[in-house]
Amino acid sequence: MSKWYFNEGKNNDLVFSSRIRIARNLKGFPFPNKMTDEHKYSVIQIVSDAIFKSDLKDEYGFIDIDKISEIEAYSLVERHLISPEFASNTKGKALILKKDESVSIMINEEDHLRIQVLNSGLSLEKAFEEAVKVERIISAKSEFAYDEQLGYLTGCPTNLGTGLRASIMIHLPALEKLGVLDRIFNNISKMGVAIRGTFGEGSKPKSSMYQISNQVTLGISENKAIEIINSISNQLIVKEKEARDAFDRFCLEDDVFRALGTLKFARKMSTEEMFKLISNIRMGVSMGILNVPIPVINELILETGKAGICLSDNEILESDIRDNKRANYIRDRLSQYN
Amino acid sequence: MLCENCKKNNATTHIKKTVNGVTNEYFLCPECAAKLGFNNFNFFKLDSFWNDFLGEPEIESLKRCETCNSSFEDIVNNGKMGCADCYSTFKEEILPTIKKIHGKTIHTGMTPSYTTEHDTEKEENNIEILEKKLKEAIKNEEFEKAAEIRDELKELRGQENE
Repeated sequence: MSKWYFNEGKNNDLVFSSRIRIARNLKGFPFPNKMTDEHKYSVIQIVSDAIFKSDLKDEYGFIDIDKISEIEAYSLVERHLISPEFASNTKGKALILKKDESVSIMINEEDHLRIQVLNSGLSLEKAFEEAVKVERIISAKSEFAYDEQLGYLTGCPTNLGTGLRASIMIHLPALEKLGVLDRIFNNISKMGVAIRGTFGEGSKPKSSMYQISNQVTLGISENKAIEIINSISNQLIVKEKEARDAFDRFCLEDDVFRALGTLKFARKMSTEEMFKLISNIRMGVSMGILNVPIPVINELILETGKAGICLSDNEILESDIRDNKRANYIRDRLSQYN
Repeated sequence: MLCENCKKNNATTHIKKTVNGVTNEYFLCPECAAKLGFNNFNFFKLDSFWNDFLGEPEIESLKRCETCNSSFEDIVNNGKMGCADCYSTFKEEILPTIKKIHGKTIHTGMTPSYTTEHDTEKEENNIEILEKKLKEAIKNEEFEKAAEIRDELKELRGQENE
């Protein structure tokens, strides 16, 4: 089964992914920070039974996070399938993963269940629908902790109510270059929405990729939260396209082809340099300058991280060796595109 | 144990105060603790160094969650609730924090009885949901909850008229 990022999605040149995450806890068990190992294994058993005795059974696989190697665990983090905390403290934790990696169910993270759906492009509604489908299959077998007033009860009060986090990752290189992002983000944050850089360190990531997500989960319906993120995304898409038109096309083309040249011929490539160059390639494809399929670009940033590039050897490699392997991988995937 | 102040209600709060090396201890009920200004539980506490420095009293709640045995201090220190029942046990203490985080205290999203077969398009608007909850709360004589719902309704209607 090919992975989720090979699917087409609306505006997938700008919107890398749409993500829905629902937090739920099973009634009758304390939250993970107060659970005994026995509790944890019971919850894993209940949830696995629900999934693997349902119609979903053939599409999903079970991963005992405690039994896989550190490299495998961190490569799951790099592919945005589990949280870094989930990978670092693995006892009594399990992951149920759809084979195309679009759905991941983290068991015993901060809550008993974190159901996550990842889709390419702007498609939060579709992702939400799939998350609810999984949620209902589990709730048919085991009741969730719910309060008439406070909604679904979660380990941290910040997720109370719907337990829903809707987020998109969006590529904004031109707005970033114009220096207007701070002002835009300032306005957006007043609407109860959080923005942070992703793929790369710091608030101005080399990838020019930003994650936009709802902060408030109580007193707002799921559809309303999704609607807000959608409307912000659509506005950002328009603004980013306008900003690109404001730059001299000849200069942008130069940036794009220099990036392609480096990626196609370099013998050493760090993740940070790759994020920067891929950002130029993505913009080039989006503006019709280059003809590299978006899924190929997505594959490069998801599969060649520090852990991902070590997967085939299943041992921690020196950074020089990693950078060389990454350069080879990228060269191979991009060789046919000009 | 009875409250040392009013000698009527059950004591739920243990206060330790050290002044000039002399330690005094009090056991109070929630009303008296609030009246005497010892109810300043909060998710963002001064650290113990400043507590010592400023001579702030150590306040220890005797109330514990019957299900997971968490005290409110445990919750504050972890930043996480121990179990689902902590929300009802410590409702009074946690509601101001919830209000600060979300601006609201009443859930208006999906419920466990909703199934995917239902028409997802036809979502009741928040006002209708709250009106229903208000009626129910009054019927059950949960007046504190009713007051909260009334406030949120007022706020929502204000937004609509803008």
